Amino acid sequence: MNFDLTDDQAMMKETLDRLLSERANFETRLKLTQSGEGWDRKLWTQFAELGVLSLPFTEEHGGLGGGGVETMVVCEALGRALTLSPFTPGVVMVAAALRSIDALRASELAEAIGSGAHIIAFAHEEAHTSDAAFGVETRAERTSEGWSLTGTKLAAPFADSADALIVTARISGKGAHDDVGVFLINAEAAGLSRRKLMAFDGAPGADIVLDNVRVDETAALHADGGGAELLERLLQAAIAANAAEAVGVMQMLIDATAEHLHTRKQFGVTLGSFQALQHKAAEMLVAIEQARSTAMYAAMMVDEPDALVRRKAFAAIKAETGRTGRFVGQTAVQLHGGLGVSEEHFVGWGLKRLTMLDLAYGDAESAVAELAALGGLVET
Amino acid sequence: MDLSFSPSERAFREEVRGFIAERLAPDVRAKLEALRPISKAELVDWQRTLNANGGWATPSWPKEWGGPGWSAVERYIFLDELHQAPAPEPLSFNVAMLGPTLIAFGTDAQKSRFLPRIANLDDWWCQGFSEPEAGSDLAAVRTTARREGDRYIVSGQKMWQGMGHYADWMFTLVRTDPGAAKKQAGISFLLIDMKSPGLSVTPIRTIDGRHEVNSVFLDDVEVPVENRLGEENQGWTYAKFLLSAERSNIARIGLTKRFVRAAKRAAHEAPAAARHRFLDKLAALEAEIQSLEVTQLRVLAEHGRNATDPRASILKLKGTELRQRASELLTHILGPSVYEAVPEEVDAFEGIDAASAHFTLRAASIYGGASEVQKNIIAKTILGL
Repeated sequence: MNFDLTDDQAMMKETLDRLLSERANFETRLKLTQSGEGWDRKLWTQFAELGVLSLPFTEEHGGLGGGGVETMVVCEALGRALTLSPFTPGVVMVAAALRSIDALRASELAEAIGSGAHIIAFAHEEAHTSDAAFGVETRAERTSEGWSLTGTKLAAPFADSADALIVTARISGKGAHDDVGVFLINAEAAGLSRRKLMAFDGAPGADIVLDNVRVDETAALHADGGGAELLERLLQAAIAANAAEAVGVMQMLIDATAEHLHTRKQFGVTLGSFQALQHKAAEMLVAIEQARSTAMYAAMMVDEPDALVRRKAFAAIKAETGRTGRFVGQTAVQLHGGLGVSEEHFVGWGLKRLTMLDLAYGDAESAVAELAALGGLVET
Repeated sequence: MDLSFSPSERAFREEVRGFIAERLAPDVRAKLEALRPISKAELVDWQRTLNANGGWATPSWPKEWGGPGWSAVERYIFLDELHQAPAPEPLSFNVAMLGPTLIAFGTDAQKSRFLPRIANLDDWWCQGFSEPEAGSDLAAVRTTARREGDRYIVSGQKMWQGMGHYADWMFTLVRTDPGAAKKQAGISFLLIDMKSPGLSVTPIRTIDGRHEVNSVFLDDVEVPVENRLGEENQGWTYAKFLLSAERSNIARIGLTKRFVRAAKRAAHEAPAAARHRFLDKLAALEAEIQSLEVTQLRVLAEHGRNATDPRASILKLKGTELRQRASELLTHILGPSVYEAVPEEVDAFEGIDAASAHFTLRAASIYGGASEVQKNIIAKTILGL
């Protein structure tokens, strides 16, 4: 049992924290959300130079062979700086997807992504996927040369900037609820249209309409038997990354809240002298430590071989990330008073980010229901 | 980073589990399964069984004084196995509180005289700290000890002595210098024989319908000076040491899981709609328990470097909250029948005495540092407020 970072991991954390504190401050973020693509491509290039974008790819694929802990370190740093970037869909999830495809192609993709030149987004969410990942209604039909995809994807983060999209679709002709395929398609493919949007937390994205988008055999990332297992792996990779990002956001919020309570005066004394507020801050801290434990647990469990054990763990991780994130975000806003609800102050953006992280790929409540349906964690 | 236990730690867990399975009396286990209290004789018997097995009754004691010399992780595993079995914990007043404090501050004569009997539960100890006017503000104790030659004359009232009616001895905070500038400064730590003339024990019935705690009245009780621990007027230091000793398993997750397990079994008997409702609530709880277990392991892993990690307050606060929620859920699932009061003396009770356990646990967020005190500690030591 050991919860320490290795020297390499600690160095990565330090380097990223320094870079982000210089390059990704809140003023920069506000400007980004008001113009252009909504995220910082120059910063992305610096990530590439530092090796961050090659981190989770296997050494066999030319990557750095990082695991769950490395992803956790990066995502927590991104969260702490409230940095918007396609790291989770475009790097972490892609690395999880490449496990199942041809090594040469995987190496080419890993290299393109690692260089920062190639952006991939994950287009999965639809009207009925929030309660169940397999609620996908986009259809994939067999054609002579491959597949044809038709359907609508909602609010896919960074899809507007993406060169390619990982799209989930129900395989036509098969009845089982989990017969969902996972396809990698060109974002400029004929029949594909994107409507740019900005999410509440400032993250850019797009709704995507797929109208008979024809792709060849190699677009399917999943094995012949269907993509349920692959989709599960992708979502678990995202949930682990989001758990770590949420911890970063929460840590930033408690630091800001403690600072606010130390400095802000009302009734002639600092806010921190009021026990009611001290106790609220203490409750935030308890929630953050629980969230941190959750993110560490997630980093360990992404490689758990037993599918059922892993599934239960990630339902619990999703539930805990959502619960703690909302509590910490809402309490930070409350303790900041009017500042907390001002769009010009970063605390409210922290709450919005945590709320969006909860809502991504099913919220805490649906995760709890899933965990219950799977029999829970405590053996009877 | 690695969450798993080492092969030798896993083997140790198996050894503990095997020992409990082999040596714990089935009817004691059955009582604990039913959330019923066990008798004095049953605990004495079990603690002696543990003690005879290489000092297992005293997990945190060094080998020199008969302990097993375990690491913090081994101590955690041992207690977790006891909680989950379920098996009784060795009397914590004896082995987790007084024992380590005597080892740290006692004279050689005190150690030789008391420690073996503490370990073997030949002497049953209770804690004489709280008073009617001194609860969370423990330094407000008013019980006085007046020096007369080689004796102290002790008068006052102590309160909330857990199992004080079983006790042979009481470790006690008394005021020896009423004029001290700070109230913490005038306190001494005395070891008092419960058979002393002038000492009487009165039961306090608690809302769980049980008699576990007591008031202890001291009326000119004579205590030999040799039964003072450490220096006169330095008692507060020893009390703080005693209260912070062995907090590495303070979340007591194994106990909470016992409630969850009982609740899940009961939920499966419920009609479908109620079952789903209960299982959802339990799942939310289980997710929180899982995170707390990792937090517990993180504090444990840090134990070698920082034995007084303020995050122990998080474990106490959250651990208590989750256990209370689990026990409350159990009463909801079992339904109104649980509220029939079961007399403490009934040995052959069939079913789970969930209501008593639920009301017993309301005290868990009050004793050992109330939840509000834990929040004060977190705000002060971790957040600097």
